[in-house]
Amino acid sequence: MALGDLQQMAMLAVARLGIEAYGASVREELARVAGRTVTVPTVYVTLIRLEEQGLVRSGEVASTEPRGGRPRRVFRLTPAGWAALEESRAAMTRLWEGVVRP
Amino acid sequence: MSASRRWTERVIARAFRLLFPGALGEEARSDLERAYLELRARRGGWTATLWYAGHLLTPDTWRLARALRRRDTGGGARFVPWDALSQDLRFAGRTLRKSPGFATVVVATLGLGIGAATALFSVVEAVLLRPLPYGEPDRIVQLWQVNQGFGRTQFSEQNFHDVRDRSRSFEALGAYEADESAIVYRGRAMRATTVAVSDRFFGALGVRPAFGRAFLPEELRTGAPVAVVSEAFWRDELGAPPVLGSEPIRIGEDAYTIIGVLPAGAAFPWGAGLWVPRDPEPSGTRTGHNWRVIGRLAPGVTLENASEELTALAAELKREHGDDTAMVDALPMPLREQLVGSARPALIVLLVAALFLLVVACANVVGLLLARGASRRAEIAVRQALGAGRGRLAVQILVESLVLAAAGGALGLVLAQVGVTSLLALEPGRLPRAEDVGVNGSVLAFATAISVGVALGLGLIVSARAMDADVGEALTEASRSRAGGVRTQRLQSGLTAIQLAMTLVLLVGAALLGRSFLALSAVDPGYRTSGAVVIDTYLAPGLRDQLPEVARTREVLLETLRSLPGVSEVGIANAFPMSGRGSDGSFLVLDRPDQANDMAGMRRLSEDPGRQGYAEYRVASSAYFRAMNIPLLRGRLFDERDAPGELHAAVVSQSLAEGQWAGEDPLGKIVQYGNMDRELTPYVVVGVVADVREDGLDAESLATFYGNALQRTAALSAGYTLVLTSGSDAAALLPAASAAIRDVAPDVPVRVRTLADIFSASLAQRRFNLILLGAFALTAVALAVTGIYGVISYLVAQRTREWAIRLALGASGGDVIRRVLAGGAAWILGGIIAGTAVALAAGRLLEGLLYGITATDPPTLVGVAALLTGVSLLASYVPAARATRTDPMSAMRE
Repeated sequence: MALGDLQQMAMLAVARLGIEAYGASVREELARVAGRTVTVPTVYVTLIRLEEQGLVRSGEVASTEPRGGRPRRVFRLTPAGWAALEESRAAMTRLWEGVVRP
Repeated sequence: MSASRRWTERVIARAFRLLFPGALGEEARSDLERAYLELRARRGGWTATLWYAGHLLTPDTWRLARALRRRDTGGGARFVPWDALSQDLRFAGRTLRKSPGFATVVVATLGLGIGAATALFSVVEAVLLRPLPYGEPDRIVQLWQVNQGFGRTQFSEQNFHDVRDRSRSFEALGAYEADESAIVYRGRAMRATTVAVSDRFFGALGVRPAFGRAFLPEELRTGAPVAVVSEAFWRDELGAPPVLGSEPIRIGEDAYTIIGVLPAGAAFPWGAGLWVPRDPEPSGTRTGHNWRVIGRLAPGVTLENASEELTALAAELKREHGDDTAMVDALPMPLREQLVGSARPALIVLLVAALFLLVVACANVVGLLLARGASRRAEIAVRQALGAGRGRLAVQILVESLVLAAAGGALGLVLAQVGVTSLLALEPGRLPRAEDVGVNGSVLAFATAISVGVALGLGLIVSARAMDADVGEALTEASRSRAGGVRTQRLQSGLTAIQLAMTLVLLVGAALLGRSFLALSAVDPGYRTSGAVVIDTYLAPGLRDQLPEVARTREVLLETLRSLPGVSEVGIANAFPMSGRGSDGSFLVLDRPDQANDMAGMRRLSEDPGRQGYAEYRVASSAYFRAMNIPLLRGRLFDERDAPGELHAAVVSQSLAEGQWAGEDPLGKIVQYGNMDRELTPYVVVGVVADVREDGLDAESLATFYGNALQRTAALSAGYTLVLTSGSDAAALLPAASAAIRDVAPDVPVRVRTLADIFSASLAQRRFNLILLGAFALTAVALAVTGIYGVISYLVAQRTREWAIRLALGASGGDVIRRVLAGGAAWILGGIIAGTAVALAAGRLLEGLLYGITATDPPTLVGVAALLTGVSLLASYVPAARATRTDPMSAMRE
């Protein structure tokens, strides 16, 4: 299945963040690394859709903040998610082959 | 302001809590809140709050809300009503986006109406509805002594003590005497309302210092030099010192130690800055009425109970003291009524006017929605035919009007915020509690309520109209590309009639206020209204006993001002018209100068009512009359003949001369007025001057007695007013005069204004009412004209074929126009008649705001009705003329 632009970015952010991948940190990672600013609801909608599609999974984790925040829902990629990401990249790479800017 | 923002924040946060259920929703919500708080810290104010609120409306917010609900209900299952609603919302958004012009006009019209109503409501809420900032404010009353013949006055010292000791209706009774006086803090002179208060004054008001302490009994008895200050005074004038008492406030020669600060908002009376202790002397006067009294009703005691007890008490005191007291009754009034009662009539009128404007605006919107509904009837009919339920369609229309009303309401709030700011800028400073006015929680609630009300009203009317048609009929109509029907047109005409009626009422109100304003502007106040500079001075109470020094300062000041280049006259008086500073009292007419040389002698003589007179008491210099252009009618003004050792010279106003000495020559009359300033040298009347309107243009002239200011300087010791005129532009004197005063008398706080400004300010309240009502009326006219134009255009378009046939059969353009106008004339006339009836009935509301005209003034009513009829016919004529240009061939082919 084809991944949307934002979906791909969000999944990569989840992959990069590891056990720290929750809504707020994914949003920050997108802004910090990819320069892509999205609203709070957008991040959560994207993550929920990805979960519904079986590309990520989530579980509740106690907060790591020193002051003890709320428990957070941490996301990680499912095997299907990894496969979809790799497939996207491979498709891109194939498409790029032989492309030269005139 | 910040309270309203906190409230808004809470509402938004609650909305998000509803939208985002579950733990993940909670996480999203708290992320959003954190982002908001960061933005607020950086940008502050409403920008951040608007950003926060804006998130409620983004598509992703709604997508997330749905996604979270899907998770909550375990996937697959759908939350049906919710989904239907969000579907309707999206549908409404889509259809409105498709007709942006329509949406803009509707939202702007609604915003205007809601904004006007909300702005006025926020003023009414703060001034009339919000409780006073004191504990259990409804129990606070103001007490008045009622005197034989003179009505309500302040209390005398002895009467206050007797009432306080004997009454059972009050938990606390306190007396106070307020005065604007000069104070010096850290070497800086300023003026402040200083209030001498008795024991239990703060108790009656229900306040205690937010920090520091109130007065001790000992301090109250001796009048110790300690002061409690208001929070605003402490903050703005004293620079918010955290420790009280380190730096004293100088009032005259006395250094007052600050011992307490009242909570914010407590500034009774008249925005007082500081309170000092002074119990009225129990052995003081029973005839001098210098104390105002407030009381706190005891628990369970009603105003009526207290009133009955006070009446009985007053009768008892009258029996005991006979002629030694003038009190025949005493009367409690709710304090709130006392404070804001005078502002009520104008505010109510303006709020009603704003609501009328809202109705006019809504009528226009209904017209627009109906026209649009008509063009969508085909669509609705198709959807009905395909099985859409009526309820479902009605909800959809309702949601659409909700979206429109919500946008209109939001715009209205912004306009109200702007409106309130400009209202207060326009307001002449006479509105009580104006500082409390702002957009707050109740105002938001009001705006929300009327927006929802409007949405429901619009939705119900439009959906009822859209669905009462038979599907088949609608479809066949649709196929003929002819929209609407007779019933829609009738509804629209009815609405326009209502709109016209309300517009007429607004116009009549504005016209009446306008004519009052003109009538008042034409009144001659009896003195010049421009071309002079007026300087009010304020002296400290302590200085008042130091007459030589005060006199020296005054002499130097007069001399300095006289020597300024360009100054032609410098007059002095103890009180200026419309300043409220002068006092009034009774005097005695003597047969010979030595008839009453002491107070006892005066009391004896005053038993003869034929010797008594009553007047406003002023002292002034002869230059004052010249500077003010008050003409001398008989005799002379003051001059060098008024030397030491002579009787004191006085001039009297024409109305005093005629009232007191009708048919006699007032010149040479000898008058004892020592009760005003304890100076027992009698006066001799040397001249008669013209009347002035002392209390403003709309008040009758008062009988006035002017003593010679050079002989009766005691009356100037509480402060005085200087009037400067010049040969040329008086305003040019302002800077030089201000600078001269700063040089000569740096300790004397002054207020320097031009006479033109003072005079203009005296009309400001009326100008304010007129501008506001005028603006409402003109807006209503514009809306009504648009409405009429719309209805007639619709009517013309409806019957294009008919015009075509008539024209083809040889009817002239005039026939067609007459026919169109006749169609509209009935409901235009209906609206005008209904409006005239409402204007007649509502006239009572306006009565107190008018001058020289009655609320039912026939020429005004007829004129406005004629004008509005003319404008309505003109608005109908334009589309009617279009009907005559119908091309028969193309119209028939359609």
